[in-house]
Amino acid sequence: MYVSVGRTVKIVVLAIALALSFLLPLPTPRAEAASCYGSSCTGLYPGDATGCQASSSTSYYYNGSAKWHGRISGLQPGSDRCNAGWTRVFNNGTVYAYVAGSTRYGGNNYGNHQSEESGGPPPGSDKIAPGQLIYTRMVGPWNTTYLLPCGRVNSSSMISLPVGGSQPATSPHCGYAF
Amino acid sequence: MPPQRKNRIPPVLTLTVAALAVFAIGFALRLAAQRYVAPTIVVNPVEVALAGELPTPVATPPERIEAEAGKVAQISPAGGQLLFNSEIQSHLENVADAKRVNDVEMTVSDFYQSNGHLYVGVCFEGQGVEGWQMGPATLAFANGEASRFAVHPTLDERGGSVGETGRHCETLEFDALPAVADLSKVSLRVESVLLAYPEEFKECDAYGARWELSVRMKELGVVAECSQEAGYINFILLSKPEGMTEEEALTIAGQEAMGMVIGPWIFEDVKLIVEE
Repeated sequence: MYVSVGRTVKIVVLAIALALSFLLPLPTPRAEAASCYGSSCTGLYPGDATGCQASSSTSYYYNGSAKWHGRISGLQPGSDRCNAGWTRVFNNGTVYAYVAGSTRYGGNNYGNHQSEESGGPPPGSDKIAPGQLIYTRMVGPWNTTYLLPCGRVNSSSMISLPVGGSQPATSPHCGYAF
Repeated sequence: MPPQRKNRIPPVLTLTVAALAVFAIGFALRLAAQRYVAPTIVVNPVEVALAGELPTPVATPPERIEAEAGKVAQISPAGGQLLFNSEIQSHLENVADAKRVNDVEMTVSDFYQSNGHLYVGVCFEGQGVEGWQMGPATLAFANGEASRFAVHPTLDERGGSVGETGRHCETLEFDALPAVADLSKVSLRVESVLLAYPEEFKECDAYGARWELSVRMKELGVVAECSQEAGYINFILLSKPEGMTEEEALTIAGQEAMGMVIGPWIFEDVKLIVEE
């Protein structure tokens, strides 16, 4: 059947199509979605393994050759935000050294921790070169858990874990809570 | 004779196809907009504040406001002062001393002491298009020394690709001075300066690119490879000269990966301003 269509009808139909294209919800970009959120990230590594990427950071802290900072993957679930935090520690010295980091959390004295020590693979107790670094595993949920980033580099002897010892809140090897 | 109508595309079909095309174009534009991430412009809060564009900036991360109010209140468990602001920075404007070592000129400001924390502004020149950072440093005072400090970057001017120098400044906050520290005589020793850290989880890409450009590694015959692992990055030595240990070779590779310029820069008897 052949039916002619008026100019007004054409404009209206095209306008509706255009409006629908802007009103219908977009699909979630699945490839960029993180695989954990909050407490389910605790004990997992950030980065490609989980999709958790840092969206902000604490200040950097230095103590001797150790330079470290707390990393935060923010609060938007379903993207690369995981509501979790971790610590990254660099050997910024000129020589091989033991490198260790701890993300402390829990209670008044940060009694729990996720810790990592240099060497490996897998990470163990061995010296690493200048420029090499370690990440701790994550702790979540960041928005309701106080985290303390701790890092240490020692060129002569192994480092006891967790970094910060029994009094991390006053340890020169830890930064401020984040 | 007029053309027969049955050979023409019906207007309803034409309109339907046109409507679908409009819908598809609109939807595709939205998808493209969703996947496009606008480049982030990093503006230093202290510099902006000094220019009078913002109120007092703080060193706390922007997302801290997303946290619960109670969490934000419990801050600085070490008893330190987390805020670093333009008021503090304004005390660090006078260049107190300058030293040139290995072709890198470094300046320090007067030291400024407030609430038990000691601040000093450090600036140095850096070549190339990448950013820079300070290496380890030690503050010496009359009866001891401290090497623990927080870092607050305040300026990162990049150089050009043809050997132009940029300028990098950081304020160091020594926040763990002992109560008995005698600050009647203070000096600062900076061990090295380094290229800025690469983007997180992409360190090996950046290190590999720096190794490609390293004249020192080429002349020595040191070849290394970097691999990104869960929890760390690993260096693998592929080639080294005879008589050099693996540790020596990877130390050189590590220093080159960080673009390290080794000092030290030593500033003796720098003036101390104490907040009344």
